[in-house]
Amino acid sequence: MVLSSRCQRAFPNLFLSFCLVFTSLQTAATPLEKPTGKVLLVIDGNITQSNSTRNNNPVALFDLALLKSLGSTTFKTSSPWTPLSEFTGVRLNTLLASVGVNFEDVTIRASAANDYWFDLSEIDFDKYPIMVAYEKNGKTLSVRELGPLWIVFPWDANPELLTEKNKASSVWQLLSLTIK
Amino acid sequence: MLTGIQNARNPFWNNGPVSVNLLLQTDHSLDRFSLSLYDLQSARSQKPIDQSAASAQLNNVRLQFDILWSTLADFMGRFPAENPIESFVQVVNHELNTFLIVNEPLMASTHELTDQEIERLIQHSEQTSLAVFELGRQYFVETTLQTDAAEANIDTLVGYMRLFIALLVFTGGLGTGLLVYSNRRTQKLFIDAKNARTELAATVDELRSGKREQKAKDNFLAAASHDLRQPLHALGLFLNNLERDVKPDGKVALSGAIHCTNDLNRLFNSMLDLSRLDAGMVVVENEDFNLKEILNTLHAELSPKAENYGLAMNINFDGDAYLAHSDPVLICRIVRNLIENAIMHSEGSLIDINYNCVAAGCAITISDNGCGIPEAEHEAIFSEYYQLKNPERDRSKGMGLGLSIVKRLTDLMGLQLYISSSEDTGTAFKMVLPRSEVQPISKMNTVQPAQSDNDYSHLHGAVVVVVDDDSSIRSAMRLILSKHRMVSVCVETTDEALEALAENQLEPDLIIADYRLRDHVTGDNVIFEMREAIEATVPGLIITGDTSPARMSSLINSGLDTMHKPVDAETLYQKISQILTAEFSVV
Repeated sequence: MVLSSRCQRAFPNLFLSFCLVFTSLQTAATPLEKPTGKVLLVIDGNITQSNSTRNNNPVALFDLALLKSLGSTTFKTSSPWTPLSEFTGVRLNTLLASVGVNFEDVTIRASAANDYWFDLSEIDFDKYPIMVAYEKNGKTLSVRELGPLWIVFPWDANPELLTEKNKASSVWQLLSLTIK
Repeated sequence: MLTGIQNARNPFWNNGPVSVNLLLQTDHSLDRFSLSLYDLQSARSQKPIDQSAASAQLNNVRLQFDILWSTLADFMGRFPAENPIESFVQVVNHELNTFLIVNEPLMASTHELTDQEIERLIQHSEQTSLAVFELGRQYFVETTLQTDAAEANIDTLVGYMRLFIALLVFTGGLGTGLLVYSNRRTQKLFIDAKNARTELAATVDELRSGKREQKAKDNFLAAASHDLRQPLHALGLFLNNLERDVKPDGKVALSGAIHCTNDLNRLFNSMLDLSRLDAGMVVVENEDFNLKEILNTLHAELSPKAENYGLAMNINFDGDAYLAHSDPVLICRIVRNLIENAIMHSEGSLIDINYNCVAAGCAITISDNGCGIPEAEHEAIFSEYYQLKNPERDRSKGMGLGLSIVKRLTDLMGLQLYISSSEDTGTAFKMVLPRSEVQPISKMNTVQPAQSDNDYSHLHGAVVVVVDDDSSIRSAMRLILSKHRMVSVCVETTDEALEALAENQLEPDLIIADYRLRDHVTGDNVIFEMREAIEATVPGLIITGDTSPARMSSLINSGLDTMHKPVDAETLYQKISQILTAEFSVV
C-alpha cells in the first residue's frame, strides 16, 4: 500500500518536473529580474547569470516573488526531523539553470543562518526533485520551522537518498549558495 | 557473532559526528543569541540613541531567538539520550525547554525589552551554554570509554573469528585427510578381501586335492616323532650299555631288542630324511663320479639282506662309460631305496640291476620278477606311508617312505623316474643320468672306514657336559660316556652345569645339549651362555628330536654340530671323536 501510494505520488511529480525544466530553460534565456522584496537567497561564485554585484563579483539575489516566478514543485514527505508534510518550493536544477550553472560540474556550498554550511556534490538534481522549499503545508516556512528556505529531499519516495551525507546536505535556514 | 557486531555498533557513539554537530550548533546558537543581546545593549547605550539601529538590533535578537528555538528543538529531538548519561541529558533538555518557554514572551514582536530583561537574558543564555558545554564534555568521556570497550569487544570477536576460521580449516583438512585415509583403507580392505578370497580358493583346492590332509599328517608326525624319539634314544643307549653285563642266555634276547631298536631308528631316520627334504635342506651337489663303483658297492652291501629275504641279486653293465654327472650321495640313496623296496615288497626271487649306456646318458634299471604293481597304483606308490601289500602294517617292512623319498630326490635333482610294471612280470624302475665327459678321481676310496671300538682311547679324560631335562637320558649318557672313561657332568640347566664345573674345578672339552629344554630354553642358547660364562669357545653338540623343517633350518644357521635322536652309542662316539679331534688339531 505504502509503495503504491508513493508511486502514484511520484508520477505526477515527475510529469510536473518535466514541464518545469521546459519552462526554466525559457526563463534562463532571459536575464534575471531584480528582486523587489526582502532578499531570501544569495547565489554567488561561478555563475553566468546575475542581477547584482557584491565586491565586484556577480551575484544573483532572490526574493520570494522571484523564486516563485521560476516555477514551483510540490511533494509530500516526512524527514528525519519532521513528520509527513507537503513542501512547495523551487527545484534546485531549475534554480541553478536560472543562474547559468550546470550542476554536474560543480560543488555547491550551502550556508545557513545559524552559520552551518555543507558542500553539496554528486547529487543528481535531474533524477530527484530536490528543492529549495519555501512553503510547508501551504504556509510560508518560519525560522522556527527551519525556514525561510530549506533544501528538501524527496525522502519517502526515494529511501536510497537517506544517507548521512544527504541528511547533512539538507540545509535548513538556507541563506546562500556558493558555486565552486 | 553478527549479534556481537551489532552490539558493538552502539548508536550512542556510532552517531558521534551528528551528536557533535548538534552540540556545536546549539552552543553556537546560544552564543549568537547572547552576542545579539550585547549588540542591542551597546546600540541602546549610544548617546544619543540611534532608534533605527536599536530597532534593527532588536529584530536581530528576535531572529536569533527564532534560530535558537529551532536549534534547541532539533537538539532536544535528536541528541541521543541513552545510558549512561541519559539522566543528565534529560536535565539539560529540561533546562533548554525552560529557557525557551520562560523567554518566549519577552521575544514577542510587540514587547520592548527593558535593560534588566536583556541582562537577565544574557545571564540565562550563558548559564544554558555552560550546561550544554558540560553535557558535551560528559558525552566525550562516555563515548571514549565506550569506544575502547567496543574496540576490545571487536578484538575479541576478531579473535573468535580467527579461531573459527582456523577450526574450519582444521576440520576441512581433517575431513579431507579422513576421506583420503578411508579411501585408502577401503582400497586396502578391498585388496585384503581379494587376497583372502584367493587364499580361500587355494585352501579349498588343497582340501579337494588332499594336500591339506597331507600337511596335517606331516605336522602330526613331526610332533609325534619328537616324543617318540626321546625314549627311543634313551632305550638305544641303555641297550648298548647292557651288552657287557648280560649273561649268555640273555644275549639272544638282547640282540633281538637291539635289532628292533635299530629298525625303529631306521624308520625314524627315513621320516627325518623326508622332513629334511621338505625343509629344503638337501642341496644337490653335482659332480662327475663313477657310477659303476657305486652300483657295485650297493650290490655288495645289499646282497646279504636280499638273501635273507630269499632273493638273488644280479648286476649287469652294458657299455664302458661309467662316468655320470650328478650327486653321487643322492644317487646312492635313490638306488639303495629302490633295491630295498624290491627286496622287501616285490615278493619275487630275483633282482636285476642293469646299467646301460644310451644316447641320453647313463641309464640305471632296477627290476624284479615279483608281484608287480597295478597300473592304477603307479602314482600312489610314491605317496608317503603308502604300502601296497602290507595291510597288517608290518613295521619290519618299513614305513612306506622309501619310494616317496626316491620321488622327492629325483624331483629335486630334475631326474625322470620311469616305472614299468605288470602284475605278472614284476616291476622295473629306470632313470637316466647325464653322462660326464671327464675321467674323475674315484670318490669311493675317500670314504673313511668306520672306526672300531678300539679307536676311542684318545677320548679318555675328556670333560663332557651334558645338558638334558630328561633324567633317563642323563643317566644313559653318563653310562655311555663313562664306557670310554670320559668325565661327564650331566645336569639339567646351565647354572647347574657351571656350578658342578666350578665345584670339581673342571674345564669342559665339549657341551652336549638337548635342543628342546624346559621353560622354552633351547640347547643352542645353553651352549652360548656357557661359552660366555667360562670365556672359552667350547665345541657344542645339539641333540634334537625335532624334525620340523623350520626348526632344523634355524639349527643349521646356529653353526653348531647337530645330531638327530635317536642316536646310538657308536654314532655318538664317532661324532665326539670327530669334534674333539678337530678341536685338538686346531690347538
